[in-house]
Amino acid sequence: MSYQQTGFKGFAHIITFLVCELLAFILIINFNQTQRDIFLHSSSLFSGNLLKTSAQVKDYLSLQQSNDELLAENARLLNEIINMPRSEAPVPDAGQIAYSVIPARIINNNITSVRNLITIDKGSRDSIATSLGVTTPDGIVGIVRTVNHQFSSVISLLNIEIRISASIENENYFGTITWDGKSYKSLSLSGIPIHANFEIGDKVVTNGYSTIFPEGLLIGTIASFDVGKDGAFFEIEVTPSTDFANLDHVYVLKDNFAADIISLNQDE
Amino acid sequence: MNRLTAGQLISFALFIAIQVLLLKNIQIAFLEQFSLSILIYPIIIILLPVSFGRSAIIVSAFAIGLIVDVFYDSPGVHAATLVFTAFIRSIVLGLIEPRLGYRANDMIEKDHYGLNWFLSYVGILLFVHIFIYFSIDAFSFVFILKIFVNTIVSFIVSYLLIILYKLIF
Repeated sequence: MSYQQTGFKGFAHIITFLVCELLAFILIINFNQTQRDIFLHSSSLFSGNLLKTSAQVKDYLSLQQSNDELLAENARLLNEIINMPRSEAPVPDAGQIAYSVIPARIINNNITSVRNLITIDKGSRDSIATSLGVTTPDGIVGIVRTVNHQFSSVISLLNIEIRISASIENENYFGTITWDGKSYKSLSLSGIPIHANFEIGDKVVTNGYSTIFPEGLLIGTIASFDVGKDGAFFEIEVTPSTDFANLDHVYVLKDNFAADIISLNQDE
Repeated sequence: MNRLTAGQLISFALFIAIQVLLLKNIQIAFLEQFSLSILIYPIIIILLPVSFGRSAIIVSAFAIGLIVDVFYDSPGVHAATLVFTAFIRSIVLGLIEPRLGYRANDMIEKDHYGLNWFLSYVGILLFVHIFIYFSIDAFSFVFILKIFVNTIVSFIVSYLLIILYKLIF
C-alpha cells in the first residue's frame, strides 16, 4: 500500500501543526527570558532603526548647538579654575571675579606667514576688547589686536611682533617669549639670567605680570638652551604646547581688574 | 489498528526518562561558545507507525515536547521542535517511500525496508530536529555559527547513540 494512498488527505494536519507551533511559541516567548528578549527586540528592530536614524539626523543638526553649550560650560569651569588662587571666598561675587572667560571659535587661522593672525567669532558685542589674552586648555594662543562688532583679530604667538612675559615654572626669573618667524614648533624665550636653574623639558608659563594673561598658563616646554652672545642671559628654545595647526575652540580671558591696575600704573 | 502496545508505551516513557533524567545532565560546553546536547526522545515520534494520523502524531509530539520542556525548564522549546519534526515526518516519509510501500501498522524498524533506508530516515529527521532545536534555543540567526556547530556535534553523538541502541535491541 502506497503512503499517498493511506487515506490522510486534506490539510487537517497542517492546521494541527500550526496550532501546536503557535501554542509552543506562545509558551517560548512568555516563559523564556532569552527568547523573549530577542523576540521583543526583533519586532521593534525596524521601528527601532528608524528612530535611531532620525535621532542621528537630529543629533547632527544640533551638533553646533551642543558644541556651543559644551564650550560655554568649559568656559565656566576654566573661569573657576583661573580665579581659584585669587579668591579666598569659596564662591566669589560677580564683582570679585578677576578673569572672565569668553568662549570663541576660530574662523580663520594662519601659520605660514611671519605675522600670523587668527580671526575669532566673538567681537565687541561679546565684550571682547583689544589686548585680551586668548588661550586653549593646552596652552596660550595669542593676544586680541583689533575688535569689531562681531569678530576679533588675534595676534598669534606665531607672529614676529608678539612679546609675552613668561617664566619657567617654579622659577621667579622672567623673560620674554618671541617668535623668530621660522618654525611653528619653536618659540624663543630670552631674558632669563645665566644663573637660573632649569632643565630641558621644564614648563614655560605666563607670569601674571601683565593684565593680559593670569599667572601660570602654559606656553610650552623648553626644547634647548644656549648662553647668549652677551653672556648674561640664556637663549632658550621653547616648543609651544598649543597645536597652532589644529585650533578650533579658544577662550578669551578678560581681566576685570585691568582698568584698576592700568590706572594705578598711570598715576605713578 | 492504531493501538500501541503497553510495552511500546513503557519504552516511550523510558526514552523520555533517560532523556530528562540522564542525558539532560550531559551538556558539554566546548570552545567557550559551543555546547553538546544529546537528544534521543524524538525517536519516539520518528518511529511511530506510518498509519498513525498526522494530526495525532503532531498532537502527541506537542505533548511529549511539553513533558521534556518541564524537565529542561524551557517551556515550549522542545514542544515547538518536536511538533515541527512530526510535521516534517510525513513529508520525509513521502519523499523516501520504499518501492514496496510501508507496513503501515507497525512501529518503523530497521529491518522493514533495509538498514540504509532506516539510517537515512532516522538521520534526516534527527538532524532536522536538532537543528530546529538549536535554532529555537538561540532564537536568532545571528548565532548561525553556534547553531550549526552545536547541531552537527550534537547530531553525531545523538545519532550514534540511537543507532547503537536500535542495532542492539
